[in-house]
Amino acid sequence: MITKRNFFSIIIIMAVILFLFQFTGVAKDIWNDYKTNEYAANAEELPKESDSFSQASYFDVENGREPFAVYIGPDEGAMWNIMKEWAKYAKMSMFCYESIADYDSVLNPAALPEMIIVDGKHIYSEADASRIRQYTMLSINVVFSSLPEYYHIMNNTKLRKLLGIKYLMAGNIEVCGYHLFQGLILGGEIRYMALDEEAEKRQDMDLELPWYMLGGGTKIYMKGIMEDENIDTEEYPPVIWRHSVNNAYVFAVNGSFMQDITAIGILQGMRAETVTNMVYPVINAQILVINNYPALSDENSDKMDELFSQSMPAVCREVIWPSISAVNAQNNLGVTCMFSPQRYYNDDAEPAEDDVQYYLKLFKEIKAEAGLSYVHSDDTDIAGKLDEDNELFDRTVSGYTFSSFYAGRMTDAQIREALDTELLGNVQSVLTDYEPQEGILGYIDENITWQSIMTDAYRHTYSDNLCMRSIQSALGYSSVSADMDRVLYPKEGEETWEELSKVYSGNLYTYWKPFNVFDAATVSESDARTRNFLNMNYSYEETDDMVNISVESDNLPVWFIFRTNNRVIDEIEGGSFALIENEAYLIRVDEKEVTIKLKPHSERYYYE
Amino acid sequence: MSMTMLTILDFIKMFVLYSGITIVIPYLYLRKRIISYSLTMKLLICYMVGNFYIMNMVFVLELLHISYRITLIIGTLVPFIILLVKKCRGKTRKILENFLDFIQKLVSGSIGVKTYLYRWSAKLRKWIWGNIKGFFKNHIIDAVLALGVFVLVLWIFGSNALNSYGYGASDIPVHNYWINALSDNKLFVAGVYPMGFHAVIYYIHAVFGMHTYVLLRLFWLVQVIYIVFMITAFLKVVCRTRFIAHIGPAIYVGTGLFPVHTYSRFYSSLPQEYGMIFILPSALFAIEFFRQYSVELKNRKDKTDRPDKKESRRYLMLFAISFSMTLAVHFYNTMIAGFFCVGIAAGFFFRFLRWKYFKRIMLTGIISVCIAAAPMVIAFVCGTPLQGSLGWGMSVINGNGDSDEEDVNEDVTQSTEQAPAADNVQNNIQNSGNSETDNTTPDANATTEPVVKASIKDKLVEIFGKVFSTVDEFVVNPKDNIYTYAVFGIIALLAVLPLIFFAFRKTDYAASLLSLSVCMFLVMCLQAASGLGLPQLMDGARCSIFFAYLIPVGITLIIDAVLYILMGWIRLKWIMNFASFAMIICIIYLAVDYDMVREPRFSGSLESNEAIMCVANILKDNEGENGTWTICSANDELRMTEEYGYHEEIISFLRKIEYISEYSQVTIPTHMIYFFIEKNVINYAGVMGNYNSVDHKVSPEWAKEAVPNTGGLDPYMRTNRMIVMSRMYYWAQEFMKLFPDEMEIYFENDDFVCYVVEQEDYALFNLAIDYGYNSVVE
Repeated sequence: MITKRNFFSIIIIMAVILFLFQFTGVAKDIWNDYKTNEYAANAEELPKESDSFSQASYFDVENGREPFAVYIGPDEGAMWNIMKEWAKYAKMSMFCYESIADYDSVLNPAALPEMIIVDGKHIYSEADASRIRQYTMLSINVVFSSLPEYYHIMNNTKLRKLLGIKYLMAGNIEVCGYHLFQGLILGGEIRYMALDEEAEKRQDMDLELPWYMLGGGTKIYMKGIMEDENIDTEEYPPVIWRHSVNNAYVFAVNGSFMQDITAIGILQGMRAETVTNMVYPVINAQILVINNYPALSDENSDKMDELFSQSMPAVCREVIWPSISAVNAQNNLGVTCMFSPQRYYNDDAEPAEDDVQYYLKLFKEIKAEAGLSYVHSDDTDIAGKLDEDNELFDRTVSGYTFSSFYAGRMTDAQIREALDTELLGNVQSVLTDYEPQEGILGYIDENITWQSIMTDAYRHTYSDNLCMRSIQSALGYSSVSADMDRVLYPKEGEETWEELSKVYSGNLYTYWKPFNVFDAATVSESDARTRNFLNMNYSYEETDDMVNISVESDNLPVWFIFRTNNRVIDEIEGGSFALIENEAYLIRVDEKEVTIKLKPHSERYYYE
Repeated sequence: MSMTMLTILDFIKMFVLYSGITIVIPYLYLRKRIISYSLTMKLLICYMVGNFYIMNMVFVLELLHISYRITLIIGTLVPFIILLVKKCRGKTRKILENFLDFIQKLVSGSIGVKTYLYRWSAKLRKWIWGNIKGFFKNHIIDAVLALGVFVLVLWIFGSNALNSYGYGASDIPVHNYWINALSDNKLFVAGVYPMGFHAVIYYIHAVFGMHTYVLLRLFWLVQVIYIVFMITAFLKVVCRTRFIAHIGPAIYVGTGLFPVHTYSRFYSSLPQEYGMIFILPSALFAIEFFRQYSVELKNRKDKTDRPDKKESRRYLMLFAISFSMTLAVHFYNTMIAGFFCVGIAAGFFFRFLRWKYFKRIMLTGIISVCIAAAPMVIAFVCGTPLQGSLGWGMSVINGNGDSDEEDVNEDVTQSTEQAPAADNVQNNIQNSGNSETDNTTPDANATTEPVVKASIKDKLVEIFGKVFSTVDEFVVNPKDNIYTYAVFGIIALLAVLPLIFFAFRKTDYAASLLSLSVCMFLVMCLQAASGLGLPQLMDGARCSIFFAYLIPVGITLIIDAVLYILMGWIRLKWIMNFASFAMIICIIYLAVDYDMVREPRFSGSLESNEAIMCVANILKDNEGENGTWTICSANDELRMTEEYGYHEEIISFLRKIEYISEYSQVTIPTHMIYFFIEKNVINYAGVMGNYNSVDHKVSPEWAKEAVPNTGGLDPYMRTNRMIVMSRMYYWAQEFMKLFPDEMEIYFENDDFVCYVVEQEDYALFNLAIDYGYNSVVE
């Protein structure tokens, strides 16, 4: 027989245990302020487009006030757009001249450019080569964003010597991959070479290129990999290299690696190679956008039944969410989920209202942001869709404000129309799919920014990787999209969620690892950093072992990448630092003046 | 850490390790067997057994190609395992019971861990303290005097270790190469050669992880300490007065009686000097055998009884061990030890000629030679050719060779471009004048002096004159002839004094003196061999090292003998002992009064201290990254760093980039490349007489000169070195302009600069650049 005393004790213990177990859950639920978007900021307080950094005029640079670069090539091609964009992010002015002669006519020896980027497809004559050599005497670094044709190089000794090519091997050879060495762009050494069938799918690089042999005074940053084992590694075709000529470097890019946005990171890397220490601003934001998630209506039920034996909301809750949650925990990416309450607004399926609160709570718990997606499939116009969505959110989480909106490939007018709706009245940043002519990020209007999605989480080819590394190097920025439409509205022959989840979690875990030092940021957090980045200006000066950064901005903190050669940061005042990789640091600037003290990267253990 | 501190710590480490493995470990094994011996004899026995065991263990493992750290450690522990097995035989059950009892007590908590630890530590403390007390019991004054000699050695010799970090002789890299080869189980990599010294260095390197180059740059000091200690030990056993034994080493180390070349080789870790350690012990054990065996024969109750040979057998064994080690380390030591044996045979002629003694001593001698020669014979029979110097040795014995040209590194020269044509440039250069005298004297006599029939007296006078001049030139430092006569006097006194002792039936002592006298006489004959028309088995400079080594022993024995004659009859022994102590004071006083105190000598090394410092740093920086770096230098780094990285000769590198075209491609395929450049170019081996009157800094003028096209070490000697360094310096300057961030200064001061280039392993820099002084072909 149990005594009353023991019985009472057992009851007490059970009550305590019950309380302890339930307390955390209940407390989490009660204190979860899910009805407030913590990432939404007061529009008045945000930096505005009118305050953003503007590039200097030629008059300013001629007076030596601002750094600038010169592009010599056609001013209508994609290359010039990329150059402008790079200059905008690098806080430089950029001027375009059709030919060397054009530039010579305005060249002012008192105000020399940091760098001259030459489109080799158009600049290849002996006179051009001679003139470029003269530029190097003035310590102007030159970049051949593309090389002249093989036969032009073959017939032009001056050009060959300028580029450091000692002889030509073949006009066109096929390589089996590329070897990128550490140093030029962030992310470390990597080989873009497919060794198995799975990797073959990633290989989308142009594997044909001319084959040159380089002479003394050259340093190779990237080279092709030959399949023929009889060819020495040293003889593999160089892709990106540098040649020391007089007082400057001539960089050359063999192939099409600088014909797209990948160029911005390569150019920043080349800039860093030309100096001992280099400081440039970055955004420092790593975004993962879960597009069209969650879906709240029970749509596409036949397919969902076939694939998952569950309704669409249940698939979102039970199948997709655990994966998102795991990816969020494993990676250093800020998650933003773009609500897609309904795909079809004219049917009978209504969104599950309870799910709105449910998801907002979940997002809050994992520090994810809730945004809104434009995607809908019937003939309802965008304003109509957003009104319907507005009603839904009014009913469920009245007063909740969305600060980010996924606009995909909507036109400017459509975006403008969407932003004028009540639901999107407080949107700070619009996410769009990347368009080369538009760029990576900027202002839509005085108060709203746009950010491009640069990477598809389900697909990460070698070109994507190189591009991602390049953008990380130039901007410390990455935006990845995992579109749940591929899961909820699968097309025939496409991968199932089982495969997609493996691919996207694998891609994110593997390829973003070198950039873990950058901050995870939701779209709105990234927006704040983007504004600071776009609006700030800076200058830096260095002495023997000190680098001083002066930031012209009231919106702090801002971030910089500091690249040095053979030095390490000893200490920093006015900010903090984190090591990205060997000789590259991420600097957080908390005050307008930051002093970085350097020391040699290795000190001798034994001394005299 | 400063290099001075590193050097001190390295020296302490190797001294402790070497002494530990050659004295402490054998003592732990032998302590019960040698309990009845004097402290000196205990130390000698342990030291001999320790060295002998290590050498031969390495030989056996190397011949079996299983020499690795683990096998060497197991090999070291084998005697202890055998001892343990013997000790535990039949007691296994009891030991197991005790162990289980211990576990049970521990588990049950009847005795705590702390209590056990306390008991064990108390036992250990007691054991250690007991041993130390036992060790120094009644030897405090001796210990203090020995410590004084130790400090004297450190002052006179050790100060140079802090002054000069590099190798002191050009043939050390060759020995380094052979030692490195032992790591690959290649015992005779360059041919059959006595490898005893190499085996010991290799053992310390392999078991304790000390870099071979560190051992080779400092082990000489350990050697000197033991060389000097052997004088003390020999005298301690032979002398009749208590403290007189410390005079010998004090005279040898602390006085300026002997010329520099008699000890200049002591500043280098060389086999011959290491082998010197075993000369006096082998003689001592032979003497002790004659003494002990006669005692054993006397102790027989009946002449027909078999004597108890246990003790004498031990001495014979120790004699065999010591003598075999002289042979296993360097033949020259065997030669001198052999002379000493002849001397002992002469001194103890009254016993040696008796069959009982003769057969045992001869058999032991043969066995000892066989032990030492066994590894070499096995290798030779298996097809390994003789190393160059052995061939040379054979030719000298056959009368066809030149005693000055022992070619230790003949084979290495071809492969490395580094080794000299002659074996020891420094030594040869230092002694070149002397050697020439040796070589030319007989020829000169033959050609210039008319053939006249001389009387025996005249011939004797002539012979004496030649011997006198040789001794005066090679062995005695002060210019006054009286010191040279004193050498003859020492030999004569050592021959005459025994007559007194024979008369007083102190035969063992008398024979010991006579033995040394005969030995010194023979060494003197060897010294003057060329003058006497005898085959010169050893060049004068080298022979003088041994001769000078014996002289303090002779002086001490004479003083001892005189004191013994004067005071030996007094029953109160302390009077004689006090007198011997007083003699030490007198000797010190005389040395100071006659300004005969030797000052520390700072001998240069064959590379700059900065280079050694950079090597130490490079090894530290690249720990665990073997094979990823290359040193390009004009020094001995090839062998110093052979096990860890690569080496490129500067002269080879300069020749590669001397004539370049746009098609030239010169690469060094490692991630890091270090370039050692002397801005203030050293006078390599001191061969450049007018060094100070020449601008020896790198300059465009030197760089304009043609790259030396000579072989061997010549490109690094005299003005050639200035040309080489200047060209290398300007190449580095030009390369740094092209790659300012990829090439950085690793270390720099006014005299030296080390550049380091970091390159991608798969995109190597083309080092063939136009640096303004090479020829560029269009």
